Amino acid sequence: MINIVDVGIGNTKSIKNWLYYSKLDSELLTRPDEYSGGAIILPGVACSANLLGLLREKRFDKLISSAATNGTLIVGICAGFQALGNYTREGKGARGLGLLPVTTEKISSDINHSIVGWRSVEIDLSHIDPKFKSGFGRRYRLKGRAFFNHSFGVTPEKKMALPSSNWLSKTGSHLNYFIKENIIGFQFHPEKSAHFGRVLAEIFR
Amino acid sequence: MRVGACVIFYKGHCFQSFGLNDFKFLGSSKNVFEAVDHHGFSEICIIRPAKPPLTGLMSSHRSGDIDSYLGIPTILVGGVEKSLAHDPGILRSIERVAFNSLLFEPECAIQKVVDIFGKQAVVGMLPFVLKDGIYMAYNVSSDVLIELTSDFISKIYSICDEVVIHDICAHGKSGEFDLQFITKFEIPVHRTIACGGVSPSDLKRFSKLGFSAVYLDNISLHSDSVIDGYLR
Repeated sequence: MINIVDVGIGNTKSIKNWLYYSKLDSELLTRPDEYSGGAIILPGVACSANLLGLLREKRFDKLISSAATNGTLIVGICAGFQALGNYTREGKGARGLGLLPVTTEKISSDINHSIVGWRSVEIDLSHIDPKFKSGFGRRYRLKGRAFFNHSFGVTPEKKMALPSSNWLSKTGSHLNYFIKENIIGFQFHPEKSAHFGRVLAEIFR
Repeated sequence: MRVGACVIFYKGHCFQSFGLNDFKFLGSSKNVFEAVDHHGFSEICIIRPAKPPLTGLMSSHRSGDIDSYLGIPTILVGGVEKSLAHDPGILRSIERVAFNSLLFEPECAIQKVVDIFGKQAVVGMLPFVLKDGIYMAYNVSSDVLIELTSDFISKIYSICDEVVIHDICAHGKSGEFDLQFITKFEIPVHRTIACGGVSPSDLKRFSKLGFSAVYLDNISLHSDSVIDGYLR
């Protein structure tokens, strides 16, 4: 079962529909004690600081951290990705869940509004835990066009040698995605990325 | 430049419109949304009018057809505040929300929405008409026209991530979007979505002008106007 964390915000229904279309079972998780195993998704379409506040208020932070330690697949989408990091400067700022070595900051003021639109994305699957690769067969790289909509971006905390495909082409210093074995963050919205999104759903197979 | 489709949605059905005065039944929302998804649009803008577009409309379909699967992002216009208060579930399948009436309120009124959705998801909806040589903005909930000023335009761009500039009179009419409006108010086109009277043959022009997006209305949904092959 794929569990979509539902703290009252985020496009959880869009994510559920995306998984349903891909013939994958999912449910909305409104309380930590309802969790009985399976992948966990943190949704986007939210202010990441607000999302973190609600995750802590409803005690999802402990569940997510524990599941991550146990090797459960954790996927964060957009604001959900940002929440997996160490800190976000969105809103009034908030400490992240600390599961990915990244920080969220306002995208440079040279870009007058959010990044919104479709961009080419290439995902290197080599850092993903092998047990989550089976849905992709022999493929080690995924390419496609994905939908982005964010005014805050994710940067790695320390200098890391990451492939060029990890980086958002618009700024060159923010991440498209980040994979750390069983913990994955997508800055874009796979649930709204048409064909490429449907390919990515295979990560839950 | 993104190219979206703009549909008028009411209780499970979609409608065509000409000048937002004349309405014709287009089809079930399921069929229309599937067509939009299939034909390569970047996103879909769903306008929910407050009143039924046609009289005698059967309301047998549930209004929740908005939340069926769509592989492209959805922007919802119309009654977002009401949905937040009474039916927030419907907003869980929406990626961006567009506001008209809140634009005429103090800036703090929109902050609650920003806190929930994030600033990037908040879009302004500015329908306009040219009346006796004066550009007027339409406030949907109070059903009044208000003379547009540069100060007002500056205000809405400061609180919204992008703004849909909707030429009401040109809605449904090919090639008639009033670009003089853009020039007169020095609209920042890189944060503007043009809607109303934009046709597939206008795409190159609007892209050259630097618009962030355009929404094609009725004509985009007719088979002889598909934009297959136009990259998202």
